[in-house]
Amino acid sequence: MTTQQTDRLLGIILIVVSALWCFGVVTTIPSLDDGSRLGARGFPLGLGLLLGFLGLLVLLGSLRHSETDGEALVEGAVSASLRVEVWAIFSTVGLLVLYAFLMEYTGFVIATILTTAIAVGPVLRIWRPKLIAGMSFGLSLGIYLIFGKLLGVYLPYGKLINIAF
Amino acid sequence: MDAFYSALGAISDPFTLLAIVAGSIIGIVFGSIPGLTFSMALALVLPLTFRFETGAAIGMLLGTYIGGMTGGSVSAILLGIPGTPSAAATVLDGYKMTRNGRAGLALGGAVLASGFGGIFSLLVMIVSVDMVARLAIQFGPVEIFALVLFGLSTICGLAEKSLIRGMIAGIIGLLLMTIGLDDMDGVARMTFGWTPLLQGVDLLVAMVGLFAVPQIMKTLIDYRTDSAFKLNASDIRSELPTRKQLRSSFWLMVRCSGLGTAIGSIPGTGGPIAAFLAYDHARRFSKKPERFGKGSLEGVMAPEASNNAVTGGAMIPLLSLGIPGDPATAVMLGGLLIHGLVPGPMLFTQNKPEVYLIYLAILVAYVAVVVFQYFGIRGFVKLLKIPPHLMAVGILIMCGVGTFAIRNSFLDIYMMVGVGLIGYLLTRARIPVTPIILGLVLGPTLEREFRTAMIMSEGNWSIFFSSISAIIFYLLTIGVIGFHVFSQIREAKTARRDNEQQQGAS
Repeated sequence: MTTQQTDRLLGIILIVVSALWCFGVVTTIPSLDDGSRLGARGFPLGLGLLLGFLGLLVLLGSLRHSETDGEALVEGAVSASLRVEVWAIFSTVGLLVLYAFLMEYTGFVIATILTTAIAVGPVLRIWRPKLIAGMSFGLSLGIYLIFGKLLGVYLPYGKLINIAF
Repeated sequence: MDAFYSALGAISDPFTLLAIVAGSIIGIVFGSIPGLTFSMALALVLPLTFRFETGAAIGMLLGTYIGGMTGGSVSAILLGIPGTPSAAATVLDGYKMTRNGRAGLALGGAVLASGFGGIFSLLVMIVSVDMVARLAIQFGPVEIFALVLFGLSTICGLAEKSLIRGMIAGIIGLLLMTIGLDDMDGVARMTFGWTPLLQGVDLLVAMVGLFAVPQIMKTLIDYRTDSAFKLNASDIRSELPTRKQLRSSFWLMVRCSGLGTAIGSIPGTGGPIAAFLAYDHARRFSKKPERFGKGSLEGVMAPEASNNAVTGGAMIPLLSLGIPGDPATAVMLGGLLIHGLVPGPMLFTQNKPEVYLIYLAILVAYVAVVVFQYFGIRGFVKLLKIPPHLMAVGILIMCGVGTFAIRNSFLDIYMMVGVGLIGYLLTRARIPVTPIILGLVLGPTLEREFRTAMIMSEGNWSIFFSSISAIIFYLLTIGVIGFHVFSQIREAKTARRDNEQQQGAS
């Protein structure tokens, strides 16, 4: 994708988001404006419209340039870098969602050990047992001692099982 | 004087001192590792301070801020990669000194100049912050609205290359802050009947998501594409400049510290500008300008004094007016608000002990940072050797634990992931994320004061032009935006001319 194509997509997304936002404001927030004061609807509506206007500016700016303008990349390089990028996004989001889910059901200790092990092993593909074990247990114990014991931060208990050091 | 003694008592508490020292170390670590920003460190540290007394909490945040600003020089000197944008100018001569085998002296000089610049700016801040606050205490809703509007104009400085993109980010922040229960009318806004959303988007959840999550993704990409940094330096220790070197650089440090303080006090400018201006100033007035760029100690000390002086300068509008000037002070503002301190003129009448505590905490933090960075350089070198992808795993876990600790809510972790994903996609679309934080922090005040002024005037818009102070702030806002637009047009023209010349030559 060239920068112009990215801008075009961004402009369209912003206009759509703005339209949806304004529709949401008008249909869900009661209008309390009576001319002498600005109600709860005024600010969100004004800001939504402004976002749409800025989206339109981005879109118009991208249309001023020709298709060939911008930072065009070699096709092979694009697909390779896009693959890595998608992998990084999915890995990060997946690990964080998994961590939250595991913490809720298995508690802090098991969740931290498992998530760290999965991050180092299957995700980063570093298959060194000592490193995986060291990092998993080290992080779990370190955070438990510093956050839980020293700083008194509440660490989650699991709904199904729970282990504490 | 009672307030000062009360602050002195609070700062001498061992736990407060420990919190400042811990914050300083965390700041140096995050500042010294390229890719880890101290804004991210502040966002991660903030949830940990919830259970602290106000003094310890503020101390830890200030320590992280100051440590982060100073720590950027470590990787700038050793790796040639600035740990923070503020340390970019330090690379020019610092890395050359490392390659010439003078890394120790460069690190020692940087530490000394950093401490000098920071403490210099603290003194200026103590003298001026109260005066600014005294003026601001007479402000009503109209003036505060105009002031916050001026604060939002700092988006120009944070917008990097495009003002429109900066404004888009700012508006996204302002839109997010309208979600939840409206304070004035008591109606739900954009919650679509979902009760958990009534409390709105938590500032901290947004901060962790916006600063930490995109960075984890970038680190993983670097790991896969094999573009992560590598440290080849082995045994390094700091070495202080000689008395002669110090004597010859003293007035340079004073001038650069003054420059950094002045620049820091202008919202939206920040450390990188101050450091480059100081570097340029040092080269222009040096007796040996030919040594700049080849490993000059002055070329390290000038930007380091200046970028650390920005910390005190940035505190002036933050404490007296509640206006953050850069990403880190935006997070700091969030931290102060969470701990019940509302920056602005009333802070100096209602929370005098806390104000003195802030002064003392900055002083202690600078001492701690200088001591740790000087004596602990071997430890930081070891830290720089930890592969960034493994560091990212640790940060990922910290994001989960820290976000959960904010409200003991698992939903917050999912929200943080969502905000982080949006933040990453926005950065890919070249939209800076810091203005989102600015919108989130300043948005509620902007709306509240605007609506209060409208109620006071019974819908008469002329109230917004009824005060000289407000008009001055409007003019300043227009001036800042105009200057930014003018600079962008000039840059675009220069780039086009260079392009044409290159095409003509080929």
